[in-house]
Amino acid sequence: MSQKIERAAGRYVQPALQETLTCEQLETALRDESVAGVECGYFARIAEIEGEPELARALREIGEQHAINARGTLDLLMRAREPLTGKAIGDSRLNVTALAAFYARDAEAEQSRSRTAMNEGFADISSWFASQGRLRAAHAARLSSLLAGLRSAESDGGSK
Amino acid sequence: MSDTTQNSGSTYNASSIVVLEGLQAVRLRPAMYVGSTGAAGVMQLVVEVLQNSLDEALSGRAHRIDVTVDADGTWTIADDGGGIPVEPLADGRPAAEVVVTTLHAGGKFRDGAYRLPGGMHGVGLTCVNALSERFELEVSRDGGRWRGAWVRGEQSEAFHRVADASGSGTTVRFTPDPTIFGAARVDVDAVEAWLRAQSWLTGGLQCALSRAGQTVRFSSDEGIGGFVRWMADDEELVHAQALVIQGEESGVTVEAALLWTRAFAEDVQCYVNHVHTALGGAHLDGLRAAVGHQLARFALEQKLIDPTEPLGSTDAMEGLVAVLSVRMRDPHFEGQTKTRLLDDAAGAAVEHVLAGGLASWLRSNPVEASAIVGRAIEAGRARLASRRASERARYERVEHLVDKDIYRQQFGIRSKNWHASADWITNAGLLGLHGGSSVMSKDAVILDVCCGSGVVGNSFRGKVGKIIGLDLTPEMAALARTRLDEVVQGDVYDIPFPDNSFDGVCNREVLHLLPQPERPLSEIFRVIKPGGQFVVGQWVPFSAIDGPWMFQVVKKKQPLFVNNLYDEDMRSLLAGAGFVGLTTEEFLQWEDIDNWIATWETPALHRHQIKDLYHQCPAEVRAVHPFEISPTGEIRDCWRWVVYSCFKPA
Repeated sequence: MSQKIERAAGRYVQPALQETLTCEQLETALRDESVAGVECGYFARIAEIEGEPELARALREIGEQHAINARGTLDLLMRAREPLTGKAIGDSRLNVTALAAFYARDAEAEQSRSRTAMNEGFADISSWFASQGRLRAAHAARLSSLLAGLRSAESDGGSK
Repeated sequence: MSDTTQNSGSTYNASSIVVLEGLQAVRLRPAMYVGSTGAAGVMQLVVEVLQNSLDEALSGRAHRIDVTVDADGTWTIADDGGGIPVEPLADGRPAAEVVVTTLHAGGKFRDGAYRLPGGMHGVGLTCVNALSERFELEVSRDGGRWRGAWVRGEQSEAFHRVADASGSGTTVRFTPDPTIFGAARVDVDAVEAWLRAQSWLTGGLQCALSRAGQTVRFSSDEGIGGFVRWMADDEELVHAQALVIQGEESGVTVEAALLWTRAFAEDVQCYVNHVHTALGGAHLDGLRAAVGHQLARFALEQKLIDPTEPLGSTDAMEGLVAVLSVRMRDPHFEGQTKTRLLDDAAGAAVEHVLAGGLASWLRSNPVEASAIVGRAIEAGRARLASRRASERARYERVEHLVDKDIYRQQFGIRSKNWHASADWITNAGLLGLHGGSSVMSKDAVILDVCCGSGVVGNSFRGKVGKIIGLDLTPEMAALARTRLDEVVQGDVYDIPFPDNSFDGVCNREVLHLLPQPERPLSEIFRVIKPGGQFVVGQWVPFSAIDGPWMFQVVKKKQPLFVNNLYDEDMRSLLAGAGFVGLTTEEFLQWEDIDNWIATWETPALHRHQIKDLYHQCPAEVRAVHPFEISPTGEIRDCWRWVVYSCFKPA
């Protein structure tokens, strides 16, 4: 992967982020940050129930950091693409288009995961994936409908 | 905002800023002040007035609180406290009038008048006034009686002296505004529970509740020890006497009563300055920590467990009935309705006081201590066994087999209180839809598959000639024999009857527990005569939106849950099995979730997590799936049942 930093008129101009190793690393970092954040919040509640309030507080506070930092990582990634679909993101229209595409695609993927789990003998996990697939499809439909509304408002001469 | 100009040409400047007077603001955003515009919001109004009377009792000025609710939803709450001051303030208005018409006005902002107040700190009575169709205030003090009235926050009768009077006290009479709360009414039983609790928590306080011409009175000098004994009245006790611990640490006064029972669920009522904190918070965390650590420590010291055997707080808390009352200055709560205490210092104080008291009591009462710790050890071992059973069930399913022992074990245990373990089991409306679906002849012979106690088969009584039950669990089969004509112990994956044996088959709420539901459905199809009827009831999610949320709730309750069946899944399964002529009936049933999850198969951690799922339920799910959380924390969930009727082709 070539990385050039051009010097022009005395300023550093960064190269495009797309297709770089850095972009991939940001995506990995976002995934890890998000997973760790969810785990911190979830494990904090377990610690609370188990009667370990100090542990719970520490996990919750660390989790808050993860949530903020995940957004920071996403901010940087916005220069390149939405990590789940590879689509451009930035303003709400682009963001929702990317998410709607993800939900539509993932609705299919969840059904495929459901079949795999069933074939491997995990009926409950299979059912979980199938339920997720239905939810994804509902979310895709909801966002697509909102997008269609935005487009028709535009074609009617409305302004954003 | 850097621009003052918005789209559409409108101008955003100082003239755009609307300053709402206090009561207007409350009426414009009522939920911001009282939590909701439903029943919970109306309850909050009642609690606000009650809390003011209670504050009088806690300051030693009041000894009675009398509550009356009229048929039209009007509440009258009277106390014999000092009465709200009536002398004029600097602006000439009587203090009592200011208290009920001005946000953040009251006697709780300075030390002295109220040592440890629990109300909304000057927001309470004003909110009640603003959100009432009619609000009347009557005060007796200083040899006179004063009265004033307001309609939707606007004064309709000036606050004035009406007569001479001896004694003192405050009476508030109000009717919640139907234009804000609609037809929402308070759960009067919850008010009764509040009054009962306060009479236990406050020595010397007498309370009375009158409704529909009947009055219930509460007073108790037994304190919170009596409170927990009352709470545990229906339970089998591990030890006879409640353990009462009191102490003070860093300005926090702690009082707790603990009583362990043989129940699965824990039942801990927490109060801060006599305000019930339904979601607990720091003080409850402190109690959990103290109980968990002290019981584990005692078990290790007495060599009741091996150092490698985990004994957690969830095990120690199982079956515990407790009341925890904390009094402190300036408590911080999550939200205006005070459902969770946030002060970590209070948690530390509770842990310190209870740890010391509990350690000392355990040492001084070795017989009771061994019974309590033995109960916790038992809970820990059951938790591990339950997890292993779940893992084993999963392993067996790789081979598409069902470990029948696990089902037998679980339903054998649950048979001991089967009908009391959930509302849906004996709900007459739901059962009626099953039997009511029958189009079979009066002499038909039907099979109730996975019959449990036989209530579903019995719903066909009088509509068919003979009802035979089939169940895997001997204990359930024994229960069913009291209702059905004949009961056979057997397996739905291999129904022990020849082909075409029955005119009909019925079944309810089982397919979600059976891996590969196609197989039992195919067995059911096999034993039905051509033209015979199959009636099956199943709860299903309301839509794709609440499905994953329901999956989590049910899976945490029931480890054997494997199929999150949607309505379309049921239709597809029945069609796939060969059934035709499908018709359906829907039934909405309200389930008491606290009772539903108080079962052997649901570990304590999961019970907490299930409650969290309701409290943290996403708005999108709430929009499609009705449920209620009462001000005292009880959860009722609306389940969507569908009863499917279909036929084997003739």
